[in-house]
Amino acid sequence: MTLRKILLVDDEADIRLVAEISLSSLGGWQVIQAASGPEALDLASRELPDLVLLDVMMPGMDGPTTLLRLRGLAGGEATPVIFMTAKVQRAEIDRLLSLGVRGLIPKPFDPMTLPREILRILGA
Amino acid sequence: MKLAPIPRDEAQRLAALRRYELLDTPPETVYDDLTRLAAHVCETPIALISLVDAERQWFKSCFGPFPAETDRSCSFCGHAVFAGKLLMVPDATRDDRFVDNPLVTGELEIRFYASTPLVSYDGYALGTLCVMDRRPRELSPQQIEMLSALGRLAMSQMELRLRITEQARIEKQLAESAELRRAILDSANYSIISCRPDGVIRAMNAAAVRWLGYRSEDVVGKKTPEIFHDHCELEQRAAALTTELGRPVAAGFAALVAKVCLGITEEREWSYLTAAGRHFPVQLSTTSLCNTAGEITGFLFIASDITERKQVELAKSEFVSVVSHELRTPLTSIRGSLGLIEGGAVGEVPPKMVRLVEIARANTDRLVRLINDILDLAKIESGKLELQMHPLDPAALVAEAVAEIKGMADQVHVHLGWSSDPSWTGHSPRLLGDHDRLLQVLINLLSNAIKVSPPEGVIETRVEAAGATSIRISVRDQGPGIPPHELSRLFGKFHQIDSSDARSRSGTGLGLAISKAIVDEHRGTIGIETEEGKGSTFWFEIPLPPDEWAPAAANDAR
Repeated sequence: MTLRKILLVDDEADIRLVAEISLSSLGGWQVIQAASGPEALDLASRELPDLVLLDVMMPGMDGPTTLLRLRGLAGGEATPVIFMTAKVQRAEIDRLLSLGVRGLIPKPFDPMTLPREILRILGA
Repeated sequence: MKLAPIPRDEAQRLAALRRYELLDTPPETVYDDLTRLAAHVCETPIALISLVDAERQWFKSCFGPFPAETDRSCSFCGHAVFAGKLLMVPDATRDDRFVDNPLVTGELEIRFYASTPLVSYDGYALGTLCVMDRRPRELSPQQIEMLSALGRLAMSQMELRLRITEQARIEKQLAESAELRRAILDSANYSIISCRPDGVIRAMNAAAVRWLGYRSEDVVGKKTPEIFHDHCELEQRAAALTTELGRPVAAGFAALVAKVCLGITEEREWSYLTAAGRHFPVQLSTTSLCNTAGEITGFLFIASDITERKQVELAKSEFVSVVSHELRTPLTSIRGSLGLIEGGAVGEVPPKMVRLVEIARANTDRLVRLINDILDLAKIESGKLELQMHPLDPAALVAEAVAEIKGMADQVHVHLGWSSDPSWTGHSPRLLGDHDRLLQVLINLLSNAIKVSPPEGVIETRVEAAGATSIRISVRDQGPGIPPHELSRLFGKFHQIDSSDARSRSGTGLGLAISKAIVDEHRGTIGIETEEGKGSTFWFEIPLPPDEWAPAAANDAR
């Protein structure tokens, strides 16, 4: 799998900006952004990203629900997903990892090492 | 007139008399019948049951014309009581004890007197059964015999009366004490259930009936407390007890009392299940009741409803979790922005700004660590640390910690070395622990050691056997050591050693408190040996599971 296009989903615009700079200027990837679950599903079905970075706590449709819907989309069944979350309790992390994602990046993350961390998780 | 001498044990005699509670009571047929019989048998016009009180003689029964009581000074019976045996005065006018007695000289004109003493079971002469006549005479031997027999009858009536009074009093006291006990039990805000040794319920207090929703007549004498428990919980407990006690424990009443049958009072959280099928959490304390021979005569289950406490705990833990999440979100933006600036990802940073950006980023990191630590502590304090116990190779754990912290040590030119017990050739004992949490303890001790180490200092980590049944991991630094007055507070919250060195201030002050809590949860101990100017050794010991004990200890245990 070649990683070119990343869908970044987070309701916090500031966090999206920081992650976008890191992913595009350090990782060299194309970044498309969504501020909510429905927006993410719309973008995912049209853009077919190679990876989804998915926030967990979002108003309206949360990360796990968005993930579930994504799996129901044509072309979204196998898209690698990495959760990004400020929920760091172990039980919570275990639950999230059991939902069929490639990994989890806790917030706050270090933008200087974020691309490396993503590649590590994807095993590339 | 000669006064009757006072018996030497008069005080006790009077106490004995009072015990019978006869003085000044209304006439009773049985005593009147006895005096009537005595008068008839002895052929006298007068017969009395006389009780000799401190200052008077009082007649429980009086047959014939006689006052209800007389002064003790003029009593014949006073003499009889002193003598303690049959007294017969054939002619009082010829007896210098009575010749000037008002009963003799007065209008009653008593001449003849005979009495048999009324002697209590404990030997006190309380009074007499006496007969009197206005003419001098004597009693035949048969009459004396009958008088004595009637006297004994009178006394046994008095004893019987006393027993009945005492019995009534005891019954009243018992009823009162039962009522008091019932009131206490029923007003207690605890569910209290008592059971027979076979588990069948003997009694329930009002709270138990109210909380559990059963009518007591439907369960008392019929059911065991098993019906108040969730079957899944009983099964889990039974399985745990089976492992712990090394014998099968059934998932029923046995699981509730297996521990207390060994003489241990047990205090555990359980769910109670109401008749309507509702669950609520209780703190249940179980006790076995034993007789003097040490045999179990029953069990007592005392439960307090901890629904509210549980809700508070949950609310607290949710609050901490939400706060942690809410703080983390803005910190993610701050940390991210600072990271990108510091890393040069958005253009070169002017030299004057580099240090300031670094300070801002480093302190953001510190804030994040603080939030993590507070979250950990909140979990520990609400008992939600929930260790995930697995067999661990302690040497591998040390190696992992040392590798993880190496970057931090390299930055400040501190050298890390570690060694494991030389007697472990190839195979080190496996301890049962939570890998991530024990690693957290080790990383914490190592990062503390790095912070206090001088440049080119060496930190020596050792993992070794501590006796035959524990593993000891120690971290020795070449720092300044810790002054004695700091030691007692060392493992407390927000404690930091005073220091001018900025490095030692980058911590949160919670690391050792968390480490201690984690080690405690492993039933281990944590401690320090330190000498000012020479460095410190922080260590912790974790007990090994019995199948990993060194052979010597395992043999001792067997």
